[in-house]
Amino acid sequence: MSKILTIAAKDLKLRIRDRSVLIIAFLAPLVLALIFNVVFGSAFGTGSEFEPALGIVSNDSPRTSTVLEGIATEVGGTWQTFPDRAAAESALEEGDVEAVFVVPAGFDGGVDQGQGGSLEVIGDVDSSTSTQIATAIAESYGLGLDQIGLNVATAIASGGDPAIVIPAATSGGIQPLADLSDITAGVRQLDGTTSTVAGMAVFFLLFTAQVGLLSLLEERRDGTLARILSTPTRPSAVLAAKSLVSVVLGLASLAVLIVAGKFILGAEWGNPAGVLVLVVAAVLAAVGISALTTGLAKTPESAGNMQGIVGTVLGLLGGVFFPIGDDGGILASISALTPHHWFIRGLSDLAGGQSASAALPSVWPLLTIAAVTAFAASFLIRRQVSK
Amino acid sequence: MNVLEARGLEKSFGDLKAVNGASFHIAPGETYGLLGPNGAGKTTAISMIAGLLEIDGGEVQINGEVMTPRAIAPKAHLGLVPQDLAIYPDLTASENMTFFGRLYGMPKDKLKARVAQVLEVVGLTDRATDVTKEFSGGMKRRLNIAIGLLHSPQLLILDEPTVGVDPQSRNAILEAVEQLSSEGMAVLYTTHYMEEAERLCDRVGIIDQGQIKAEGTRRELVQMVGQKDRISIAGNGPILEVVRVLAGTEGVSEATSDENRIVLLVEDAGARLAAILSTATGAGLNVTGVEIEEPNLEAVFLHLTGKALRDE
Repeated sequence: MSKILTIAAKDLKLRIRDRSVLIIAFLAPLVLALIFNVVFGSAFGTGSEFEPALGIVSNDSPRTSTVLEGIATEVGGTWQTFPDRAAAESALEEGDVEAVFVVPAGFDGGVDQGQGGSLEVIGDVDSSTSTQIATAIAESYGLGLDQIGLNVATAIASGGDPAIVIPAATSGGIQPLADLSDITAGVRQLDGTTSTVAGMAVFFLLFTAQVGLLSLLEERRDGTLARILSTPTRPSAVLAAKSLVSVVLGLASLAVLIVAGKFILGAEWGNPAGVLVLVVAAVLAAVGISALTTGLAKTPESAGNMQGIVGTVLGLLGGVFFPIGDDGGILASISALTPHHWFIRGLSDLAGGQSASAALPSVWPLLTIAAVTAFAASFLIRRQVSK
Repeated sequence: MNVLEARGLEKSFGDLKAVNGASFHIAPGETYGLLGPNGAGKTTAISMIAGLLEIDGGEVQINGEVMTPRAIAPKAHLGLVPQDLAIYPDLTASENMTFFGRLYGMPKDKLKARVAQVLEVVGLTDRATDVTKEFSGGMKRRLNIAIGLLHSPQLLILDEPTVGVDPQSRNAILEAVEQLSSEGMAVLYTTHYMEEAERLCDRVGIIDQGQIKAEGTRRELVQMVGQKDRISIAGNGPILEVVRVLAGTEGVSEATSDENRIVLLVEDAGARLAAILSTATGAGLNVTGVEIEEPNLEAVFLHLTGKALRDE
């Protein structure tokens, strides 16, 4: 263990003297986040809560209208009621509203008969986030109704009296129809500033995490690795030390950016324990990916180039620079393979005062990425030491 | 017990047989020179001895312990000075040494004192706290050696330590090796500089194409290939008569004359010079000058391999 710490301490000292790591790990992401925040601040709604402007067209379904208005208010949105679809579309074109629920005629009546149902959402193409929120609310609401319908059908098939079963199933009001926290969990959003800082932090994390492992190739090129291995030091200790440096630099980079983001840019990160778990998982995933590229490369230069390409592609696919939709398309599926996606998703899940456990659905994928890449890298990188 | 035992070492890289059955040993306090041209297999042999390369065939023992890339114990007895500089340019001389000293498991207090001591030996005390990227080439070479000496190894491996070194630093390096050897350290010294091998090494192994072609002391090697010392005597008198008399003297295999100079081929000139001069003056020669040329390892190498040590 002391040799691992000796090598790691030497590497950290060299990296600090080199100063390049200070730029990659701390300065660049912070400055870029600052610039993005200033340039695109208004688009992100910097410094204010996200407020979706939602509305509804509902002439004969007051119960559904009440439920949806309650949910819209819970997610911090504004609410308008329109007499018909044409009025709603006009308001959308004018930008007065960003997404509108269109409730079919006789919707509540159908629910009273134990039938499921679905809502239509029309949205402003320039307000995709609000439209996504409205769509998610509508889908969750519809699922709740389908469940009630299923319960009623099952009760009747089992010999229940429809006159008793149906009122009993629907009399619960709002609660049996949909759980608000379930609905909003899928659509919680980071505010613009937090999202930008998080994106930059995780984007540069992949470059920072490579610093420690990259020195393995540099030492092999410079002959110091052979000298280290001629001492009573196991190759595994060298690998552990290099990985440790990557982890330490990754953690330090994210910690500094999170603290600076909060106090300089006003980012809101959510539950500290949840953020900590998420940060550790993201760093491990980044180190795993870095180990893989380092193991595949033959020289430090090729490893750096490879990591540049991998980091940029994963950043783009992970939604660092622009959102990749969660609509189940091919891009969304690919995005789910990136640590960036899960880190930002995890922070989003923590937004709005959620408990630390809200980050867990994102922590597991991150740890899976870390385990898979580290396993593959272990075969490749051992070869680097023994060459 | 020998500090180093290398038996039947073999190593191939693809179709290239870099080391092919090399065997040699080094006793405590002995300096063994591995002499060969570039590409002869010296560095590959050293890499196997230092546990940096897997051995295809044969065995290396350091102090009776088998060396492999995963071995830990034998590496504690070994100090390696690689041919290329293996130091960190952004660390100071002292930091470089302290780092490697810790990898050898040296206790903190002992390490500090030893660093100062070794820096003194290599003449870098006044530059101890300077980052090494500011050092001259010779100073870097000396630090490269200092790291290998730090833990007082029983076997010091020096792989062409004077390549690209200025004459002053080169002399300092050679003196340091002589001193270490006199203190009982076993030294494996590879070089393609014949004069360094002749000056430092108790025994020399001549390596070419991965094979030890011959080994022994310089004199043994010379005798092995039949090379003789050359004594050149300048003087006045009956030159031809003196040549005739000297040709019959014990140990003289050939005697010729060139104007006022007599040239003799002799076995062990140092031991026979007095008798030869006595015979020459007795035959009427007024001796005005004497030169002795001993056959060198360059000639031995040429004889054994059919090629020169250096291409230049």
